[in-house]
Amino acid sequence: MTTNEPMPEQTEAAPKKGRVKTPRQPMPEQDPRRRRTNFEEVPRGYSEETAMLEASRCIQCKKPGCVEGCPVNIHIPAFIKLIAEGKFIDALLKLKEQTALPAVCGRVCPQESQCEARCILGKKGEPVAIGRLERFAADYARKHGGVPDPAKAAPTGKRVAVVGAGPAGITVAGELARWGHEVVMFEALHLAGGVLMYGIPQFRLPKEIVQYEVNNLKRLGVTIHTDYVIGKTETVGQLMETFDAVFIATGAGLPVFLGIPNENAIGVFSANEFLTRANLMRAIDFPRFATSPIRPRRAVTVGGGNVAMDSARTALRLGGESTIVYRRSKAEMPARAEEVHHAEEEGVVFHLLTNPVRIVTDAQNRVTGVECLRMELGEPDASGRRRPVAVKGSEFVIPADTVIVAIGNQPNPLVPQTAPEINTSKWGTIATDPVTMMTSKPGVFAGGDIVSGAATVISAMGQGKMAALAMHRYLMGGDPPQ
Amino acid sequence: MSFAARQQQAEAAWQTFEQPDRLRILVGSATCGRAAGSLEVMQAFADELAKHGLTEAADMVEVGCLGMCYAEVMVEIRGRDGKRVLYQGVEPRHAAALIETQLVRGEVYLPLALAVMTGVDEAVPTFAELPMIKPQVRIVLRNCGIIDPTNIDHYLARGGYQGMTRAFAMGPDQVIEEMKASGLRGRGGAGFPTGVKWGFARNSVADQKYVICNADEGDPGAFMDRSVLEGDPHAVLEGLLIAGYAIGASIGYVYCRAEYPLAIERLQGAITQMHELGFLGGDILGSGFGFEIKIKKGAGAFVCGEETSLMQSIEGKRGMPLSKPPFPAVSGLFGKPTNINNVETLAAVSAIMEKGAAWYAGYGTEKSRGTKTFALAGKISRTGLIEVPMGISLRTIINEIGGGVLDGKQFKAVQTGGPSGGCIPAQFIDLAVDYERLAEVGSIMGSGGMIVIDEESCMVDMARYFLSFTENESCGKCVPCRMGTQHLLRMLTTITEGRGTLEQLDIMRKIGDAMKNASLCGLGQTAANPVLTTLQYFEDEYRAHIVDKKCPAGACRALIRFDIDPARCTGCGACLRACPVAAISGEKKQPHAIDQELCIQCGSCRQACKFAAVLVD
Amino acid sequence: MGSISLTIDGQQVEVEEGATVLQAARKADIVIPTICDHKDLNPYGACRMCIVEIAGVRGFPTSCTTPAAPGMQVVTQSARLTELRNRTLELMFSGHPNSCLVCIHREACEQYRPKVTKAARSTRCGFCANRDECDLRTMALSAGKNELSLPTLYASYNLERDDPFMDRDYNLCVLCGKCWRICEKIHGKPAISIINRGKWARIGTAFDKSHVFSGCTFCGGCIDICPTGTLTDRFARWQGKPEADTPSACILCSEGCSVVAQSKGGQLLAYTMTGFNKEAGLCALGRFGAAQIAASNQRLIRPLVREGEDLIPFDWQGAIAAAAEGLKDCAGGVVLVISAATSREDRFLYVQLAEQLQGRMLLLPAEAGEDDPQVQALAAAVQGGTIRAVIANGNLLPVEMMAKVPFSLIIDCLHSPASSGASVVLPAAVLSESGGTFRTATGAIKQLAVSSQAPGDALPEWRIVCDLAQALGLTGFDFERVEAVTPLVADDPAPAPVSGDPRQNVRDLIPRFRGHLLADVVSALAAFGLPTTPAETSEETTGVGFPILEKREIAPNMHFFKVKAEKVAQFSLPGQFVILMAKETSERSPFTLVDWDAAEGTISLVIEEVGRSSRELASLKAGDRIAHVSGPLGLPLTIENKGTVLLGGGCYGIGAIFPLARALRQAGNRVICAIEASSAYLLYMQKELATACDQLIIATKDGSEGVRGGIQEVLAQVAAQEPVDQFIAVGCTFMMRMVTEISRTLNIPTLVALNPIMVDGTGMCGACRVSVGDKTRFACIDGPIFDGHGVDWDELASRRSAYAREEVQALSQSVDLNALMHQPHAQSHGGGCGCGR
Repeated sequence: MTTNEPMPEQTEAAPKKGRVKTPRQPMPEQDPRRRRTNFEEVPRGYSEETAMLEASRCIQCKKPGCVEGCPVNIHIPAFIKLIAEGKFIDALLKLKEQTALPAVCGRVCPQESQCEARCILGKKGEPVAIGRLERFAADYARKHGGVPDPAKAAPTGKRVAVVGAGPAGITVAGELARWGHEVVMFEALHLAGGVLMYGIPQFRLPKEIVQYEVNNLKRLGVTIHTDYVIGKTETVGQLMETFDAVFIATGAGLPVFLGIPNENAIGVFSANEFLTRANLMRAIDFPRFATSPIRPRRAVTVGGGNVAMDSARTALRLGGESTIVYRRSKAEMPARAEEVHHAEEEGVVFHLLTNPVRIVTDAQNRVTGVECLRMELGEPDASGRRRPVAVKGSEFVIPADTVIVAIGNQPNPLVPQTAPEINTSKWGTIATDPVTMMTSKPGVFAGGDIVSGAATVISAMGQGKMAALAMHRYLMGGDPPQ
Repeated sequence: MSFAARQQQAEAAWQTFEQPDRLRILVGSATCGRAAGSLEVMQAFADELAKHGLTEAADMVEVGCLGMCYAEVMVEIRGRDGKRVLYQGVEPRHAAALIETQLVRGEVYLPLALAVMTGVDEAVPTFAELPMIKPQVRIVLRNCGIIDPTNIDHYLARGGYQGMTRAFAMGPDQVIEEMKASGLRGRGGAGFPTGVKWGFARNSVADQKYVICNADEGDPGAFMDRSVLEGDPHAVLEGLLIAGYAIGASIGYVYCRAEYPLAIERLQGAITQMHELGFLGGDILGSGFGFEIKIKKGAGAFVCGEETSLMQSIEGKRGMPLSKPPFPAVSGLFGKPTNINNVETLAAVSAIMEKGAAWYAGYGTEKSRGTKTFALAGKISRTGLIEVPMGISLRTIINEIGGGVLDGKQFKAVQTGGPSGGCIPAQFIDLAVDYERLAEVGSIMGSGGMIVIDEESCMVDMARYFLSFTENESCGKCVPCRMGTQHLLRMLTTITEGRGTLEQLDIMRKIGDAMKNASLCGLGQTAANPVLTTLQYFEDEYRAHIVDKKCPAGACRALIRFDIDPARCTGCGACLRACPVAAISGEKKQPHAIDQELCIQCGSCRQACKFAAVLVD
Repeated sequence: MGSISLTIDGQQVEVEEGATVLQAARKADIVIPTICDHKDLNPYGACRMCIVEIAGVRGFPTSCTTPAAPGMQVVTQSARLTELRNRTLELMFSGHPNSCLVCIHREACEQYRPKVTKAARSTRCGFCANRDECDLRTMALSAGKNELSLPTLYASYNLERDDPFMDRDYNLCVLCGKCWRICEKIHGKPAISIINRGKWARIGTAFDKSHVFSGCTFCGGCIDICPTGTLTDRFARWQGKPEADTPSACILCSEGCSVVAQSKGGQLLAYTMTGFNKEAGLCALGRFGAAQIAASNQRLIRPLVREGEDLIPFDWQGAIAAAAEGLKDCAGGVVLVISAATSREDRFLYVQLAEQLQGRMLLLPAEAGEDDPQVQALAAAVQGGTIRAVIANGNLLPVEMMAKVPFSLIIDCLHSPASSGASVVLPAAVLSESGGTFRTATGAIKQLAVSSQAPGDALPEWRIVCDLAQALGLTGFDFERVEAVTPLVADDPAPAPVSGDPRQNVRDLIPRFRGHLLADVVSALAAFGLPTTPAETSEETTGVGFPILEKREIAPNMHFFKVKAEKVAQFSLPGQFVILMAKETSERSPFTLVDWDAAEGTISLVIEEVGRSSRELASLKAGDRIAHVSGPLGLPLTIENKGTVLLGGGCYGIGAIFPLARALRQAGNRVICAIEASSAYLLYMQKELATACDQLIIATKDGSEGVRGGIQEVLAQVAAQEPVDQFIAVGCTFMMRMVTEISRTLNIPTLVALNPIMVDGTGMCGACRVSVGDKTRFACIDGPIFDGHGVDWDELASRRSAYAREEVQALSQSVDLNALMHQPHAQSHGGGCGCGR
C-alpha cells in the first residue's frame, strides 16, 4: 500500500493520513505447543491500548460495506469509533442494538468472509479487526460488571414460544422480549445455548460466556424451560394452543455418517457426540463430571469444516495425535482459514485428498485404524469444486483408536416428525416463506439451521433477526419500536 | 467355732422352727409361686394375723417350691395342734377363712386342703401318699419347699455341709472315687460320668483351675435348676465347693442367667453366709483348702448352656462354642483346666457326699444311677417339677405322677430333652426312663424337660415350634446349625401352611443328618432331633399336611376350618361374642354359622362353645 | 518341640507337635476343603468343610481344630465325608446368593458380559465385584455344584455404606469369622464380632454403631482377608483382581510402614498389609488414603507457567526453561522448603540444588503445614526482601508470602493454594509412582518400589530436580536412574516419630501430606475429625429440578421412584423413556418409564443401581430433587390388537413391561407377562403386573419360584401350548439376545427394547446407534423398540461396554461415593448400659 494514494469514501472524521499506516493489530495467542495441552482459550484478547489502536485504524466509511456484510447489520463504524475514544461500555451498548451475542460473535463469526471481507482497508491491505474489537468490547463490559439492560417496550400481551435455545432462538427471543412480547424458550438439553454449548469447544468459546449471555436473556424477562423436548414433551401443535406465535430453531442436529463398513465400531463417533461429551457434558473435567471422556491416542477426524477442526483440536487436547482426513484439497476446505491455521499450528496432521473406505477393527469391535483411498481432483462438479476421484489400488490404513466423523449434520427430525402440518424439503429442512419466515402453518415461524441446513452461528442469528421482525409484524401488524 | 458346734447351733434353730406348738405359715414363694401371687397371699395372711393379734405368735416364712405347679399358690399351715396342712390354689381372699379355720378354730379348711404333711387325717390325704409324690424320690429337691432358703441353719440342720466336711476328711482323690462309685452322670444333658470328668480336671497340671456351676438353664419349659437355686442354694454351692476341692480349683463360678433374679439373690445371700461361717475364703475349716465363688450373670443365650460358650461368655466374649479338643479339663476358662457341672449335678454331689455313694447308687438302673428331676409340662393334669429314680416308666410318670392327659384326651407322645430332644410316641409308654433307653428310641434325657402331647397337638407344628426356638438360639457360628435350622424351620412352616412337598421330607432328613454329624456343638448336633423323631414316628402326619392338605390334629390354622354343627348349636351366642373378627353370625336361639372368608382359624369359638358344636376339619 | 507321626489316607506324615490334622494333611499335599481356616489365624471350626474321620474318635471331627496326635489314623476322603461336605457346602451356599452358579445359562452369560457390573449389592455372582477372588465360588465350582436343592435365604440386609472407605454387604457373608478374628489378632480387642443370633447372626460392631466409633482403626485387614465379596474397599471395589502385588513402603509419615502395593493397569489400587499380624498393621491413611491420593482428581498433571493472572499448561521443556529462567539470578536468595514425606534420594538432590544455588533448605516434618515454625520464620525473612525465590514440594508456603517473593516454584502432586499462587508449577510423581528409599523414624531404610504410573505428565522429583539443575547449568545432576543416586545419600538422620499411634487410633492420623489437608483429598477422612478446607458455597440449586415424591428399594438394587414431572406425565406413551441427570455434574442416562399419571403430574421409574449415574440417583431420597428429567423420549410402541402377546421382562424390564401390558390388554390382546430373575428375592411388581395382564408367569434361574430358567424357557413353554402372535422382550442385552434366537426358530414376531449408551437422547449425537436389519438406526429417535430378529447383538453388547474402564474409574474417583456415607452416628447410644458412651 502506498501512503500517498487517497483513500476513497473518506469521512470528515477520518484520521490523519499517517494513521492508516498502523498495521492490523495481532491478538496475543497462546503458543501452539503449549495450548495443545490445555482447553484455555487460544486467542487471549486485546488489551485496552491495543484495542484503541486497532479501532483507530477504522476510517469510518460513509457507506460502510462492513455493515452490509454483517448478517445482523451491526453499526460497525459507530461501535469502533466508541472504542477508539475509550468509551468501551458505550461501544458494547451500540453493539447490543443489533446483536444479542457480541462476545460470541466476536469469537466465532467468519469475519473474513463477512464484515471484514467488505472492509475498504482490506482492498489494499489488511482490514480492520472488527471481530476482535467486538470481542474486546463484550469482554471488557463483562469483566467490568456488565452493561445496563436495554430498554424494553411496554408489554404487548402477546406470547411467543421459541423452540431451541441456540443462536437463532436466542436472537429471536432477545429481540421479541425487547419489543414487549412475552417469550418462553424451550430447550431439549439441560443447558441453554445449543451449538454454542455442545458444539464449539471451550478453547474457542468459553462456556461461561455463553451462560453469561443466556443470563442476560433471562434478565430481559425471557423464560427458559430446559429439559423440554418439543416434539416429545409437547408438540408444536400443542404449543400453538397457548402461544400467539411459535419460532422453530431446532437446528441441524442429526449427524451424518460415512456409510462405510464397521462404522458402528467402538471408537467411531459423530463429531456431535465427541464434542458434546467434551463440552456440554464436560468430560474434560472427568471425573468431577461423570460423563466418560474419550481419550484418543490416535484420533482421525473425517471432514474439512469448522466442526472437523474443532473435533481434531479437541482430540489433540485430550492427549492424542490428531489427524484430519479430507477427500479434497485444502483449497476446498469449508473451514475458516484461521481454524485450519490454528489446527496446523497445534500439530494436527492433514491427510488431504484422502477418503476413508472402511473402519478397521479388532476382535472386541474396537477401532484400530481407518482404511483410506488416495484421491485426485477431477472435473468440477455441480458446486463448482473439482470432484475428487479415487486412485485405484491406493488403499492404505491410518492407525487410529478414535474416528470422528465430521461430515455434516441433517436437520433434527423431532419437530418435523411430530408436526405433519409443517411442510419440509426433501432434505428434511423446514420450508419457510423467504420474506415472512413463516412455515406452512400460520403463526409458526422457523429459522436457523433447521431451515437453511447446517451453517454458521451468525447466519442463524441473521435469520433470527429477520424472523423476529417478521413475527413482530405478524403479531402487531407494524414495525417494532426503535 | 468348730463345725460341729456350729451345726449344733443350727439344729437348735431348726428345732425352734419345727417346734410343734408354734404357729407357722410356709408360703411357696419361688418364682413360680410369686408368679401365681404368693407375695400377695403373704400380705393377706399378715393382715389377717394382725387382725387376730397373732402377728407375734406366728412365723411366716417364704419357702421354695414343692414342684406342684398346678397347685400354686401353696401354703402350709401349722396350727397349735402341730398339724401341718398343705393348701393348694390359695388366693389372698382365702386368708381370712384359712386363719379363722385352722389357726383360730384348729380345724382343717377342707375346700383347699391338699394334704397333711405329717400324720394321718381322715379327710385329707397324707403328703407322701399323694399320687404325685409317692413315686418320687427327692434327693436333689430334698429341701425345696421344706426349709427357708435364706437361712443357712435350716440347711445345716438337715445335713448340709456334712458332705463338705466328709470330703475334707477323704482327700480329693477319694472324693473322685466316691463320685465314680455313686454312678452320678452329668445332669445337664450329656450324661458324662461326673467322677471321671473330675478326674480329668484333677489330672491337669496348672497354677490355676476353675470349677463352674452351669446355671444357664435354657430349655423352654424347664425350671429344675431355678427351683433348686431358689429353694436350696446351699445344696448347689456345697456341691461346687466339693468339686473345686476335688479337682484343685480355688475359684468357682456360678453362671446364672440374668432372667433368674431371685435365684441370683438367694445365691448371693448364701455366699455371704458361707463367708460368715468360714466355708469360703482361705483355709476352709482348717482343711488347707481355699475357695471363692463368683456369680456371673448370663444374658440369656441358649447356647451359653454349652460349656465352651459359657466359658467364652464368662471371659467377656460372645458366647460361641469352641471345638473340642482341647477339652475344658485341659484348657477351659481363661485357658486353664476347668470343670463344669450343672446345678442339678452339684446338688446331687452334696447329697452323695453327705450320705455316701452306695446310698445314691441304690437308686436307678445299672448304667443310670440315682434320680433325675423332670419338668412335667404340656397336656397333662398335674404339671410340675418332679424327681424320680432312674428307670421309672413313662407310664408311671405320666399317669400316676402327672395324673394322666389333661381333660381325658388321648395320649399321643411325649417330648423329652427340650428342643434338643426327641418325641417318643405312645407306643413306648412303658419305656423305662434312663439315658440308654431314651437314646434307643431317638430321644435324649437332656436337662429334664418332659412335654406331654395329646391327640389335639400337631407333631409338625410342634417340631416347627422347637425349630423356631433353635433357629433363633443358634449362635450362628457353624454352617450346618445356622443354615440347617433356618431351612428346617422354613420347610416345616410351609408344610404347616399346606405348601409343602414330599421332596422336602427327604431334604429335611438330609439336612438333619448333616446337622447331627457336622455341627460344632451340641445345640446344632441335636437341633434337628424334633424333626427327625417326628418324621420317624409321625411321617403320616407330615404326609397328611402335604398330600391331603389336612392337619389331622386340627392345629394348623392354614389347613383347618371351623364349622358349627346346627344340630348341636343352641344359639347361645357364646361363640359369636368370642370371635375376634366377627366372623360368626346367627339369631338368638338359632344355630349360628361361621363366615369362612372372615374366619382366621383362631379356635376361640371352639373354646367358648359349651356344647361341642364347633367342629374342626 | 518334638515331631510326631500320624497316618493320613494311608500316608505316613511327620509334623511338629501342636500341629493340627489339617496342617499335617497340607504337609502331605492332601487337600481338605475349608473356608474359615487361615494360616495366620487360630483354628475356628465354623465352616465344617474340613471334617475327617479319625480312628477311635466318635463322629466327624474338623481337621482344622483337631491336634495331630501320634499314631492317629486319619481318613480325609470317603463317600460319607463327601456326602456331609456337599450338604454343608449346600447349606453354606444357601446363605450366599448363588443363583448364578446354578443357572443353566451361566457359561453363556459370563462369556457375554465379561465386564464388571457395578451393582451396589452383589445379588449374584454376575454382579459381584469379588467374582475373581471368591473362595466360595471356587470351592463350589471345583465341587461341581450346580444342583443345589436348597433355596437361597437372602437376608435382604441393606448395603452398609455408612463407614469411610468400605462397603459392607452382609448378604454375602458366610460367617467364616476371618474378619473379626484378624481384627482381634491385630488390635487385641476386636472392633467387630458376630452380633445377633441364629438367622440374624452377622458381623457387626457393638450396638451396631458406625465403625468410626467402634474402635475400628481402618487397617483394612478384614477387607483383605474376606473370602467373599462381603467387605470391600469402596475405592478399589470395581477394579477386579489386582494385577501386581509389589512390596514397598509408605512415605506418608515417618513410620514408613512396609506395604504391599496392589496395582492394576498402572493404577494403584491399595496399600495392603505385608502379612496378617499385628506388626504389619497399617493406618487408615496408608491403607486407603494412599491410593486415593494417587488417583485424586486434584492431581497436578501438567506443568503450569504463570502468564498474568493465569497459570497456563506447558510442556516440560518449556516449563523447565521457565523455572530455570525464574531462578537464574537468584543464587544466594533461594529457599527450598521440602517435606520429610519425600524419598531420601529426592531430598538429597534438593539439598544439592540448595547448596549449588547457595540457598537455604528447610526440612519440614511429614505432617507439617504452612503454620510450621520454620515457615513462619521464613515469612518474616521474606518481609526483609532478601529472598528472591522459593521452591517448595508441597502446599507449604502461605500464598501471601509467595506473593512477596519474585519467583516461586512448586514441585508437587496436588493442586493447592500454593500451586495456584506459584510462578511455575511442576507436577510430581509420588508414592507408588516414584522409587528410591525411605528412612523411618526407627532409622530403618526401606526400599520404595514403582508400581503405578503417574498421571498425565507428572515425573518423579529426582528427575525434575535433575532436569532443572541441568537447565540452570549446574553439575552433578546427570542421573538416569534413581538407583544411581541412592549410594550418594549420606547417613541421613532418622525423622522424629509421629505423635500418637495412628495405627491403633484413627484420631491420631496425620492431618497433612506435604501441607495438603488430607481430608480435602480423601474426603472420608473427615469422618475422623481431620480438618478440611471449608468448601466454597456450592451453586444454589434449591427449588430447581424435579421433586422425588416417593422412593423405595423394591428389590435389592432396584429403586422405585415417583417423580413430579408434569409435562412428561402428560405426554407419555407406552415404550417411551426419559433421560435423567441426578445432579448438574451427572451423565445423561436413559431410563424406561414404568408408569405415569397425567392428572397427578407424576412419572414412575424403576432404576437399577449399577453405576455412577444410577448410584447418584439411588442416593437421593424422597423430597430431594432430580436435577434434570427430559422426556418422554423415543417412539412409543404401536398398540394394536395382535391376538396373544407375550411380554418378557428381566431386571429393569420387569417394571418396563408394565405400561406395555396395560396398553396391549386395553387394545384387546390376550397378554401374558413373563418375568425372570436370578432368584425369587429379586422379583418385584408381581402384584401390579398380575393385574395388568391375563397371565403372569415367573421364572427364576435357581428355581426358587416359578419356572426354573429364564424367559427363554417360558417362551418355549408358552409357544408349545398356544400360538403367540407377538413377543416383546425388555431386559438385559443377554436375555433379549437369547430369547430372539428362540423366537426366531418359533417364527414369532419379536420386538425388543434396546438399551445402548445414550448422551442427548434427541438424535443429536448418534451414540446410541444400533444395527438393525443391516441399517444403522438411532435407538433414541428410531427406537428404542426394534425388530429383535434384525438386531446385531454383538455390536450392541460391545458398544454397551465401550466405557467399562472409565465407568469403573468414575465410581472410584468420584466424591459421590463418600456422599453415600451417612452422617456419622451420634457418639452416644443413649447411655444406660454402663459402657460410658
